[in-house]
Amino acid sequence: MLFSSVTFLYGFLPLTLALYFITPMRKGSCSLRNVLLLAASLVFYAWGEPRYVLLMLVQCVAAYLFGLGIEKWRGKRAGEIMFALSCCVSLGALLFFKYTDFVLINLRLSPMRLALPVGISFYTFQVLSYTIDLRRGNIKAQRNFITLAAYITLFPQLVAGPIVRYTMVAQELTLRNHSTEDFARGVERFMIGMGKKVLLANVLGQLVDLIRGQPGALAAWTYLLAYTLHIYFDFSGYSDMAIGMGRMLGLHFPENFNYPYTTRSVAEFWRRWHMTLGSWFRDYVYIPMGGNRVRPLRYCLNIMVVWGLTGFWHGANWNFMLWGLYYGLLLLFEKFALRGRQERWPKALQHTYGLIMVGLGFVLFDCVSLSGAGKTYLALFGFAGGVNREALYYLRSYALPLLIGIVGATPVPARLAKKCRDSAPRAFTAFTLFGIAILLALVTAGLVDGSFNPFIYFRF
Amino acid sequence: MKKIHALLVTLLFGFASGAGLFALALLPSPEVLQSERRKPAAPPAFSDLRDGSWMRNFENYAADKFPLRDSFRRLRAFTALYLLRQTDKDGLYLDQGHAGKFEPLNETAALRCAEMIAKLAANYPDQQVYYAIIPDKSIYARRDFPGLDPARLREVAAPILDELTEIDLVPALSLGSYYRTDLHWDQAKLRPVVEALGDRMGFTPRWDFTTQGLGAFHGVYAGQLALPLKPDEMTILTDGVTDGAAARYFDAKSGEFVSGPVYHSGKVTGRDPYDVFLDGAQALVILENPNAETDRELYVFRDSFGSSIAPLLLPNYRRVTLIDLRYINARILPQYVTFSPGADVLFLCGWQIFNANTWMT
Repeated sequence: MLFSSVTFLYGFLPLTLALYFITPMRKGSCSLRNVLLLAASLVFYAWGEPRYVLLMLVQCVAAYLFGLGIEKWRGKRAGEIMFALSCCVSLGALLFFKYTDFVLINLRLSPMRLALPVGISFYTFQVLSYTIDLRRGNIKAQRNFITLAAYITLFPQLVAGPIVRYTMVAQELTLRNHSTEDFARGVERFMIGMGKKVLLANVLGQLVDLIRGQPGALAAWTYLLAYTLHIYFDFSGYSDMAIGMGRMLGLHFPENFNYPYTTRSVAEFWRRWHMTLGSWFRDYVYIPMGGNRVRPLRYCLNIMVVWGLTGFWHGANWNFMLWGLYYGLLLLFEKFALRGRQERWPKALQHTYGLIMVGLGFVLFDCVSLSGAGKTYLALFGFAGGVNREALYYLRSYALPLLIGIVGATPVPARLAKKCRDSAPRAFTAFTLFGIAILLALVTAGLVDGSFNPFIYFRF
Repeated sequence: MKKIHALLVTLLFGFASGAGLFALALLPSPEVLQSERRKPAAPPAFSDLRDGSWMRNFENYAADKFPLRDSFRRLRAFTALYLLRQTDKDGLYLDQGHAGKFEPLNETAALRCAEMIAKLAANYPDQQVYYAIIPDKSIYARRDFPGLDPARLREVAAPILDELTEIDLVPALSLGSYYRTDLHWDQAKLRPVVEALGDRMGFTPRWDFTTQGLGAFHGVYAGQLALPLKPDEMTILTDGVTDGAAARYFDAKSGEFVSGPVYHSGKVTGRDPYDVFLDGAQALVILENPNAETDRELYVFRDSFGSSIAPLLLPNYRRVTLIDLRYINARILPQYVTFSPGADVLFLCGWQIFNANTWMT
């Protein structure tokens, strides 16, 4: 099911919240509510992906049983076998469904044309974090299957993150507080996310579709700007909604974005963009490989492996692999060639450098074929004409959404809101209520009259 | 203060989403979405679960039955055109009081359509064959919308249709020739078009018509745009010829022609008011002018635009046969229509026909 749909906003969500809050808590325990959450999450998933509900449940059962085994025989051979088996099941499913066709096509064999289970990349990483942390002895195994299954399938972040590690919510899964303040904060965050998705990402997505592949430098730069904003509002909007809904349910998820387009370098960008994925690769791949406490050549290898995997995690295609490696190279460039010298550049130049590098990367990310990406790069650098009628028209038509997007991607709106909250709390309450009502009306208008608009990250 | 703030936010969200839930669950689907001229989406079938279309179909069903749907659609149009200052909303625009829809030229479809016309025209060596492309009203709007270049369409079509006589209608029309809220031209404004046709087809148009008003209507773009637009006035042109004409409509079920009037005034309040002219979507229509002072016959391959201009051509012909290849395949046409030697054949196609290539051959 899509968050940005009438079915979800006016069907699934209020019904689930109502059932959730009328479900009693026994002595502060959330076990009954977890049953409800699991059931709701399965309905949520089955709504759009009924074929693969069983696969997800198998993953839950495997994580539960192997998790108990890993804990029982930790440090022993049996524990290692349990861990290996657990990885085989979770990673095996991901590799099979996501990468089989890629391998077959590259071996010039007939593809199996497997449909990718929605969200498999996200919940597989959650399962892996659970079993790896168990093996390391960082956490205790969850003995209640319902609780563990509720964690793995939790609908707010099931299909597009943020990647919530078990350690982050282990305590709240069994004992959590529900307060009106938390619920209200959750509502505010959810509505901001919904607004980002429906009112900005979808509108900018239209521009991307209209202008993608048009000849001329103006068209190419407009596309680059629109896509860069589109993917940010689409993905961070989803994360906001997930975090907001988690908070309504008494769960505190980690942040996934921290104004990535205020970056002044590629390294900083990745500390601000899809933070839960970056930290997952850091803690479970990069550091176990030795991180930066190794010889330079090994460090380079570590970086390239991590970023190659990061790219490949996004999609089974060469463009995603290249996209990841592109960032690996840039990070090495910043580390060994720039050596922090860019910090002495004028701030505007630093921002320009960071944003252009990120934008150029998104051309690879969005392209259907590498030749298509090549054409876009040529157009960007003026090898396919300059200004044309199409680009001018669309730029004029979408000037205000682009401008709102640019301002919205900075901390300015949040700073203004904080200032207002601190200086005039009553006015802020009125403003918030008005804002939510307006957002609800505009979002509903966008959903009722809009077309089907899945999130970009659904395909990962 | 924080508690009150939180309580109010919670209540607002709870009330709004709860109200939406109850409305969705309890309110029935409308029988027809009047402004959009279509039936609402049906609830999905369980078989949709197998092919993965359940979610999309349910969403369409829920969106179509959502309470105050037209108001929300209006809000979206208002947001796009006035708040975000976009020049169009999903291609729909409002300019100089005219609602319209940008449809960039699809050169591939246009090429195929031109080839189809050329192929059909080759069947009529004993007739004079003409073609005219009816420009979309958007080319007259004061906008620089890309891809709406009638000259480019002519460049694509002309080399393929070089055996036919072209009638250029672009100079004969203006934005005012079309209804403000609809894609069609207004019959009362078609005198320059009839003159342009007469000039090339060799007749001197008569223009002794009386204008008869049938009432106000909202055209297709008013519904699609969902903004509160001033309605258009539906008028028909009548004279002794149209009053005395006999119209025969092809009934696909019986395979026979059925008599009827030229104008169907009652349809002005129907789903598509343009059905007033020759009853709207019809595969074959034959108009007979019993008082004609000529034996000339005309065969018009047409779309809905042809319905309103045909009665105006009738004074110059004894018989006008209208063929809409969206509803009858050209291959079975000889079973029902025999083309008289020496007759005129006119391919009169709207921009939309060229762009979508919806004729059946």
